[in-house]
Amino acid sequence: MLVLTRRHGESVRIGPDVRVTVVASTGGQVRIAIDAPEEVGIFREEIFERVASANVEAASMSKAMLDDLPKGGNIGNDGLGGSDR
Amino acid sequence: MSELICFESRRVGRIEVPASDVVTFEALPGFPNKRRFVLMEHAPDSALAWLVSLDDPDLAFVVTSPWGFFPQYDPPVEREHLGMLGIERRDDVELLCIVTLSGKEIFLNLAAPLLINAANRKGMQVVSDDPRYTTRAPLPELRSAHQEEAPESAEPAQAAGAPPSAR
Repeated sequence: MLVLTRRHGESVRIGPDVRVTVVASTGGQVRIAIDAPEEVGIFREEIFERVASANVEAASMSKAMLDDLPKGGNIGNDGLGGSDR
Repeated sequence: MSELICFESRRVGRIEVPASDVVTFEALPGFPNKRRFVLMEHAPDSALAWLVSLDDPDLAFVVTSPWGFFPQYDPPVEREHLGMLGIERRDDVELLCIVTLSGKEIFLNLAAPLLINAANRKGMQVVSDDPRYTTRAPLPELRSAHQEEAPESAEPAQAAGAPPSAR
């Protein structure tokens, strides 16, 4: 891991297209500005991690788990309030 | 005729699909190297479908169109997301939410929907911090349906597959 010290107003380049600039730092908070191409996803780490852990949990589903659901997981296009009961 | 891809998934079994059905995703959070998926139905008339990885036999997600369950859902999709997928026409947008089962409870990830450009078969997961939505939105109807006979008062939900609202 690369660790750099930057002052207010100074920047870091990550590859040719991404620039991170320190725009303010007060108390324990640092405010940064990020210039990046549209296709580069920029997320707060904790948001990204929340989605990643939700994905990991969801990825362990098997067909048998769906078959255990009411109607064998055969949830119809009418949503879940089935009319066949 | 498109070339046929055969794959043995440990989640859903053997798959044979035309190569043109493959959706290539921007890396999904948590699964950085798994990019090629195919969508498969779960059962006829089911609102659920499988998004099966072609890169990992142990990886598959259950997905569904959210509007059958949450008719008011307003996905946290921005113009830049459409740009990232090269989406030019409204009709090319397909939006699905990942389903999670936990015990007998079922959840939809409304905070991070999957977006697919049907025209070029590119996909991504929208990572948002939209405070209106959670990664675990429960489906209460199913829970009650499982406990005992569902009351007939269950609200009829709008058909799944409704188009996303305009943005």
